[in-house]
Amino acid sequence: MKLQAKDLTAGYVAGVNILNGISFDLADQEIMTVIGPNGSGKSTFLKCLMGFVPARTGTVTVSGTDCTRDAAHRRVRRHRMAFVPQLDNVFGPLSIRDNVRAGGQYMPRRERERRADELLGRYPALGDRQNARADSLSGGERQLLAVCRALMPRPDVLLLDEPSAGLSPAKVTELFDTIVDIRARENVTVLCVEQNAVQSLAVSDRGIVLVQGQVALEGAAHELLLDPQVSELYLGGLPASTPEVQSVVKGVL
Amino acid sequence: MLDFALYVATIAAVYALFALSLNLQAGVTGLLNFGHVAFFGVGAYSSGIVALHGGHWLLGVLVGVVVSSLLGAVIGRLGRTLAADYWAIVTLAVAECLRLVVVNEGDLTGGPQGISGIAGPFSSVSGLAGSLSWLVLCVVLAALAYLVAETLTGMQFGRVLRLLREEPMLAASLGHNITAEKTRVLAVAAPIAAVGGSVYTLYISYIGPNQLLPIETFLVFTMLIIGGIGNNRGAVFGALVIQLIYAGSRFLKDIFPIPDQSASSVRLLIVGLVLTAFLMTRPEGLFAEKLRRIDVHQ
Ligand SMILES: Nc1ncnc2c1ncn2[C@@H]1O[C@H](COP(=O)(O)OP(=O)(O)OP(=O)(O)O)[C@@H](O)[C@H]1O
Ligand SMILES: [Mg+2]
Repeated sequence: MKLQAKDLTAGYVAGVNILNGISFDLADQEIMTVIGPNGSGKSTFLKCLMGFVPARTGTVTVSGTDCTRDAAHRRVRRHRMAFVPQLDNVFGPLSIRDNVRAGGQYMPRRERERRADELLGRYPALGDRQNARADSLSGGERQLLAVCRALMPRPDVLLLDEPSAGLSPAKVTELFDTIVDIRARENVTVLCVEQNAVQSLAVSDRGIVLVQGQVALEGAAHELLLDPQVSELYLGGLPASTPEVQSVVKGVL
Repeated sequence: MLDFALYVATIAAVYALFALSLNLQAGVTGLLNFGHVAFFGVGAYSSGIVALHGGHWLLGVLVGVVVSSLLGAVIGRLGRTLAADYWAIVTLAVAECLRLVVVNEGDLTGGPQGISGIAGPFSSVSGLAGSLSWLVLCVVLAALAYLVAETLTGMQFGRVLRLLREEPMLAASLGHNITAEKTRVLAVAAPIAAVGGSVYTLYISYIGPNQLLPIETFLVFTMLIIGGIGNNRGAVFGALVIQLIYAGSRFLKDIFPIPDQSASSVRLLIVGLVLTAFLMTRPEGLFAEKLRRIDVHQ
């Protein structure tokens, strides 16, 4: 197993758990999608896996090594995890190339430049104007840039928080195709929190539905796509935050 | 009158050291150190105690630099387990502990009376030459501190510090060790304030526990807010403005019938009014931070 969590509980305020005992296994080079209503704890789940929100109980294991007590920078540098936060956090005033290099701060200089060349060469949308300011990019290109920055140190595990947020449907599909391509080239294991459940599950191996900090449903992605409850909640066009949907979701538990 | 002007300029240069040091912490890195006066105190009392035992003044400065840097590193390490707001409270507590130790360890520190008659580098130079020598020394030190601060904030290190302040999660995602960087900036900033404390003590040849009161820290915060928090030039300028207000307030009693014992309260009142005026009309200060804003929305 590449990435593993057991009975993870975590929260921000004393006595209130946002994550209530989450367990999952993710095999090497699998893509897993996490869906769930707003506020169900999806971002918190990723932050807990990265060590930004400490686990109150449970363990996180990467490539067989327990990293539950490690700070975030150690998970990045030692356990080869990478994280792209929910907001697109590219450095607007810096050049596209500098943004990519920022991900390789701790790589030897020559290696860093070579890796930046490799990534920028692969994506002409970025590489063709690598000296332009990053804030001249479109939303989708920025997201790609943030992903490239995260890929710089050749991570084993890539955590993405709603990478397709704010993109047009065509761009969403393009982004997920890119993620599949990245998995193949970089041999990376991907965990992706998504609102665009259909497109995301379509390219995933497995999926999890998170409700109130618990795994409400788990399984192969294509099974989840066909699951009547999931399709009603996420694939039927109803926004997940409406009260009707919330009540159905509670019924899932 | 010339003497007084020289005095004001010298003290302003000393305060520029405190302000530059706090700017590295609070301005650039976003570390709200409410116990900044502790670094000043370590420098001041190192000089005082070394002088009391007949040591050379340079030794006192050196001890202050080393001890304050260690103290800075220790305080920085506390950030490992404490959230930013709790950390700020702890810094205040550390500074107050230091002050209470100073008050109560009379044998070492002179207790509430403090240490007087401390000999400095220009003790044997009297009159105008002495005052000028002090001014030159303090201005040179402030200029050096300014150069150090500008270099640090201009480097890659400074970029990382600002990233820690604005986007700590992103900083850690890029592999930066947040606690280590904070510890490092405190260990570097603390000696700048400690040198200020030493020079101040040697200059007025006295140090007492009342100079370690929390109000001193907040006075330096006021300098930063007036000058422009995050900007080194602003820190220096803020120190100058506050010193001018302090100096100018002495002449108020010639104009208004203010009893002597309320003079210091009036001074603080004026500082408070100026601070409020700045916060309401120009919150970015005289010199806004030279930030290349990170635009997260399109
Ligand atoms: N920094 C924080 N401090 C306190 N509570 C928080 C914090 N961040 C999130 N929460 C709370 O934790 C719960 C889960 O939030 P989280 O951001 O993990 O949800 P999410 O599933 O990612 O939602 P969204 O779909 O809107 O991104 C929410 O109730 C939220 O109010
Ligand atoms: Mg979220």
